[in-house]
Amino acid sequence: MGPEPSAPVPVEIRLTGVSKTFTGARGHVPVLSPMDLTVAGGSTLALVGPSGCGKSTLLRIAAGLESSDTGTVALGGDSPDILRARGALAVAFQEDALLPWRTLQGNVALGRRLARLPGDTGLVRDLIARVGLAGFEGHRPGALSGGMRQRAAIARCLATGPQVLLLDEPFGAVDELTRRRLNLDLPPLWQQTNATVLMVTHSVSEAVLLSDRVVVLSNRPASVVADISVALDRPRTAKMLSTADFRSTIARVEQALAQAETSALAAQ
Amino acid sequence: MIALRAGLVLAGFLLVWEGAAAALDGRFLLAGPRDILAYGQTHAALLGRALAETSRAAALGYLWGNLAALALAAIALLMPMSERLVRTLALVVFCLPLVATGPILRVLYGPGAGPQITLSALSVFYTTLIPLLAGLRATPRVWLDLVASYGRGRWSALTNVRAMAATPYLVAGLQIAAPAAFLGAMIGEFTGAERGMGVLTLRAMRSIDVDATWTLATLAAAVSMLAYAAAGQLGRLLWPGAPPVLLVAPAAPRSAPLWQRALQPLAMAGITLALWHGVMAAFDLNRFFAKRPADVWQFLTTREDARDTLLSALAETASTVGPGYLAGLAAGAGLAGLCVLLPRAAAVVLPVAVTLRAVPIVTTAPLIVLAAGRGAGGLVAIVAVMIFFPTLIACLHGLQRVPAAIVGVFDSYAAGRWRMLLDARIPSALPAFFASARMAVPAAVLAVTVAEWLATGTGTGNLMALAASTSDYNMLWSAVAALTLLAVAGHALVAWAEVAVFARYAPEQLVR
Amino acid sequence: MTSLFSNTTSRRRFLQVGGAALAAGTLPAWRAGAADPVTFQLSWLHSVQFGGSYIAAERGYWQEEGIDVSLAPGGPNAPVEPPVVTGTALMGISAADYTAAAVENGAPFKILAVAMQRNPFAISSLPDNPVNTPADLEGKSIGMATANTPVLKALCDMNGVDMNAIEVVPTQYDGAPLLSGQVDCLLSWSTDLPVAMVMQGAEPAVMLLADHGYSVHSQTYIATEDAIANRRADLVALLKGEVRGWNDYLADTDAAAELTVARYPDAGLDLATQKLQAERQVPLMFSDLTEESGFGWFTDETVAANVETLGLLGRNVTPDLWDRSILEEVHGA
Repeated sequence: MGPEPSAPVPVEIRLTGVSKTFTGARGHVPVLSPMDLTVAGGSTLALVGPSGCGKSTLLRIAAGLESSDTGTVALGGDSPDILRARGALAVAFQEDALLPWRTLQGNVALGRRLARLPGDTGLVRDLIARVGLAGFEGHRPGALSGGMRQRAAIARCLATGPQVLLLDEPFGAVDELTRRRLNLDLPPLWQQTNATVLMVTHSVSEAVLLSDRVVVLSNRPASVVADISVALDRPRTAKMLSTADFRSTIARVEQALAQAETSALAAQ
Repeated sequence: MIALRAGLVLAGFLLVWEGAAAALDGRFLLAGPRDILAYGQTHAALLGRALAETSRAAALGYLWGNLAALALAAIALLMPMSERLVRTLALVVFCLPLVATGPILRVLYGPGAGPQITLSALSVFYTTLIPLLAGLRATPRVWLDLVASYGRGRWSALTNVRAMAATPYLVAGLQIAAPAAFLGAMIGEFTGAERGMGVLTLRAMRSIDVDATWTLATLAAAVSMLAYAAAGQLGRLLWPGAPPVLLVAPAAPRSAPLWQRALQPLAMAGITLALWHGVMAAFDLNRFFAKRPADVWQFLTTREDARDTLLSALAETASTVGPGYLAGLAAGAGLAGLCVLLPRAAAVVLPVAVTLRAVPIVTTAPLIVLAAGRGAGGLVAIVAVMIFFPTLIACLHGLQRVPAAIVGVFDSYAAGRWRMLLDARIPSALPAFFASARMAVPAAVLAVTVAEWLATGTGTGNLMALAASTSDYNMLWSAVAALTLLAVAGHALVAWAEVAVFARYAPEQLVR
Repeated sequence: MTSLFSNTTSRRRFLQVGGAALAAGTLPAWRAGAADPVTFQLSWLHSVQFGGSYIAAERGYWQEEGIDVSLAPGGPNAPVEPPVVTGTALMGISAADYTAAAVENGAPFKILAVAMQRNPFAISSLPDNPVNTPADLEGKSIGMATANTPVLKALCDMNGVDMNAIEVVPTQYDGAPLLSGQVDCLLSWSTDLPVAMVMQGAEPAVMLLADHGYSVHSQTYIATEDAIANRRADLVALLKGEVRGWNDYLADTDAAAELTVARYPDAGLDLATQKLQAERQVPLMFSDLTEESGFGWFTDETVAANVETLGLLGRNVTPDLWDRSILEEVHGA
């Protein structure tokens, strides 16, 4: 059983000429140079780049949580607002954003509640089991470990069967071992639904393992330095980690990242 | 063990009380526990009926006042444009002194408990509204993003996230409100009632019946303590887990253009005046005692002598508001700090604090005057006693709201209680502290007028009492308007300090 | 001015209905039956101070006159004037100085009758340091509400006493400061704090201000000009009951005290105190004048004395403030 009847046509994410400058007490800080970015329907794209380069801002703009100064965002031809209002979009934040007064099950169900979808206890419990948290349904977030909380946050995202899934370093707060587990366990859940995924990560190996394309951004103001395709089969497995394809892709990404850093230093 | 310790504290408290009463014997100031017990036994039926009457009015006032605060907070949050207006109007209404509202309420309601219930509601709504507004804003940004990511608006954010996140603040408000509601109902009986604790208190004081006076005060304090404890219990039921960790992302404050900032106070003033006139006109209140803004304006512009009288009284009041306000705030915050540093002290401080808040100031004022004199000292002491309580409770809640992770960091360095207080607890308590600092402004202005009336016979408090007794309602409403302006100005000063401090410590509080 | 103080039945009804909506049913329902509902606003909490009125109510004197009277208690924050001005109350109990002030501020009041012929203000002191004459005040401290400063000043003016030689200590209306020695004497009514002090075992010396030229009618019956013109019959009926009630009171003050305590069991009244207060009220309310002309009476001479004292209090009034026509109807019948 899939989480929710999947969308007939996968939704394409298309950012055109998007730029952003923050205005603060210390003047203007350009964060994003005008950039274009397209994520094909049903595919996964990972954004990597130096710390504070504006990856998260780009993601928030794609979600419609923040407005861009120039350019447009189209999700399957619609604005993010429309998708959000339809409950067809879900975001996993850096922090798990679990509400401390709700149980695990209540937090997962909250996704459906906020999207105004009918409650579905069977689905919620199934999702909790799939992310490996069976037996913890009645626990409150305070009683769960960091990894468990991240799993719960992902389960909440999936509970609505989103067409667009935006992941903002969803595993940034967990240890390396847990992260590996989650990297392998969770993606099949959203790939079943044909969701289009845009994710931000610090981890090069995570970016390569999870995505179909890796886009490397430069230092602030961010612009695209490299756009690297990942030629690995689905579903990804632990074995792939030791393949030459995987390693060479990682090497390319790391090389591009190093370039991005040096160009930034040179610019300063 | 805990029960034993509590028993010892109580026994010690009773002993000190009995000793103080014995020391003051013959001065008609204080009755000891034994006298109170004796009086209570012989007058049980009378006291029971009075308690039932006043408790009923207080319960209804508590209910309506807190519901009004909830509704106003929801309006302010759903329509951020309206927040300033809601705050200003709430402040103005809270500023209305009893001498002005008493006759109006009695004329509106006729006989019965209406004025008691209304005054009880009026004395609680503001102290619930202000912490609630702070609490509704003290929500981690990411929770709001979560709601927004599903395309839901403010209403959904309110019902799903903010309402629960604000619960600890609401509980603080409900606890502050508990003794205030009872006191409001008692004072409400001063507008002309047939029965109740307030009626009996008046009677007892005039009869120099110290046993009766202090039995009534003890009963009022006991009821208030029960209500206070019940509100805390309700909070623990509503909030099963530990307080949440506030992980907040700073947002760029949107600064309004200058013309808007300049226009806003004018708009507030206009709306306030329109409502003042409109409400009186809507209820067709007689102009003899319900003066409209135009009446006050005409009075103040044509009667130079009256203007001078008012201004000199106001100057006198203004000069004591500051020290009284600071003393009350310092007493509240200091006691809260003491309770955190020495948790055992809380067992003594809190009951005494609730008692001081729940007992009408007319009962305690003679004792305070005896201790602090009739001069400025007595004035400041009375004001401090009247306003420290909300600050104590709000700060106590704030000081206990430090995220567990931060407590962990401090523990890992074996940092002491002091270090924790200075570097962790006080910064976390700032929103609560400023919420109480805001609440304390109108309370201090009102308290100074009461103290002036009870202790020194000077200033605006005395002027208002005199004006009310001689039907000089023009002067009374002019004084009300002037005091309100004073409170609004003080409030603006506190708000300015708040912005300056939050810009450093708690930027989420600045997001509208 | 009349439009400002329009005083119609519809306004009253509106106020009551509006109030009822707010109070959610705390108002008594409209009483059925033929009797005219009339509210009589007292000036203080229930006590034997209004003993004659309770007798009138209990013995059906008002019922006989065809009116159904509710007695509204007062209190420290329940001024009498507003309900009377609005017509919520048909008649109220005030005092000549307060009535004069209200009239100065636009209230269309008349004094219809005077319950306390002699002003009850008194200065109490302890026997070992007594104030028996105004001259004794010099060099002493007096506890009083500062609002009463004009009263003390008038007394000093009339008796050639230097007010600057008196130390005024603002106190609540409370006898404790005197008993505990915080002040030398106390300004209050002769019928409440001194009575309380006696009940506490003290024997205070009581100097009545009325014995030293302070002539201000107290516990006066007031009504608006509009009520006098349009609800005359109700006013006559109300005062008729009062007169009968107070005459009964004079005949047996103990009975009046007992009735008061029984009628208001929740008021916290002590029977012995009420009996003493009832007794002490008699010389203030009843005199040769009332014996001759009837309860509540006043003459041009007593009014003139009042006008003079009120002048010292800063109230410029004319004898027009008093209107005896209703009382004449009451006693003429």
